[in-house]
Amino acid sequence: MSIKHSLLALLADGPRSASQLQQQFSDRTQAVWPLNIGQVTQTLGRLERDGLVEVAGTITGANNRPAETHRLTAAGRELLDAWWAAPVHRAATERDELVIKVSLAAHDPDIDLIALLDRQRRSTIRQLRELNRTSRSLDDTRTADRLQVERRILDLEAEARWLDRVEALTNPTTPKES
Amino acid sequence: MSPTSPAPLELQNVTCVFGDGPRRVVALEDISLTLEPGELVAVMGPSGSGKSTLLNVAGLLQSPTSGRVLIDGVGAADLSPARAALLRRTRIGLVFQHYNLVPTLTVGENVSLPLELDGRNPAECREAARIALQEVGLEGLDDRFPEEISGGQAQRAAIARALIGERRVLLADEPTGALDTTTGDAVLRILRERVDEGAAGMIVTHEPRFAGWADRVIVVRDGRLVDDGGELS
Repeated sequence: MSIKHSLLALLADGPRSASQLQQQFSDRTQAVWPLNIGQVTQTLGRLERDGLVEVAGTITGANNRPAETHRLTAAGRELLDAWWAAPVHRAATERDELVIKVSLAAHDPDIDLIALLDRQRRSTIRQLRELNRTSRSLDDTRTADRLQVERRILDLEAEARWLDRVEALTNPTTPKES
Repeated sequence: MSPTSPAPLELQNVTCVFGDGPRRVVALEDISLTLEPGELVAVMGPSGSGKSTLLNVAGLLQSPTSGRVLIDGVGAADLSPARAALLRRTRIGLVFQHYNLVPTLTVGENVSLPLELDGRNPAECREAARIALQEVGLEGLDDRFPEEISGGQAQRAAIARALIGERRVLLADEPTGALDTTTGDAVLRILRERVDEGAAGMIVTHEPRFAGWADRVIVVRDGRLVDDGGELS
């Protein structure tokens, strides 16, 4: 998760203090990804250092102490616009344990690969069942928790389809060891 | 249900063989399975593994070569063809991928058709259909024809028809196969609700997302039940 870009996006609505940003982030994402105040203040410090935000003024916080508010600079606005415009590239998993496990099983005549795939499929569908239950309790709106559940359902669906595909493939010929 | 009540659907050592000689195909081999009230079972497996044959045998559309199919404890093979047909019509509801609604009948008439075949009076049938359609969120569509409603609505009407009257066994063969994900989810939600109310359901699906609505997933491979690891939770 990019805390930096998230804070810039919230500051586009106007100046905010660190605690206001923390609260607003929590409200808009249903606290799916909790942010502590330390993460917010540290990130704001870095954004200020890099010229992306600047101090806008001071307000009296909830504890009656003065709190600085920050606003976007032109450079911050430019970076935010570029973030909205750019697609997010999902990092490929370099070492997917399941892929490694199946690759090794495919070379090992002592491992029942089909039984391994069946166990994995059951586990995947069990997780899907739990997510289906969760999704039944959520509104059909684009809230963070709904988006998170839908993403996870489709990830698991992809895994189950991958298992089907693996089952349809044949084992490689194991080269003789010297 | 009392503890001694028979299961709504039970398959005992069912084997189904088609053809003979070099064309002999064992579609199902020694399959035993019990569905309890309130239980939804998903059947998965590769294409041609015997999933649909299993559903057809369970729905009394196909007789097994050996083994028994019991509906509420009654063995279908022990009955005359007419009594077996009556058992199927009054106890089992079937849902197919392409809905199988009769195009020349209205939605309401399609839903009430099983009751009319049972000889119930027309007013009673109409009222039962109205209530059944309301339960699946299709109130007010009684007078439409199948071509005038969407695929998702047609499948919901098919579920209403499958469970109208005393039917407590719901068998569905790829019921979401012709639907998009959102509509398929809505159909599964309704199917799940009907099962939660006490029906026993079996759904053949190749879609893991929809299998996730089931209480139990069984895998059929080469006609054999290879993975019945019990309930999912």
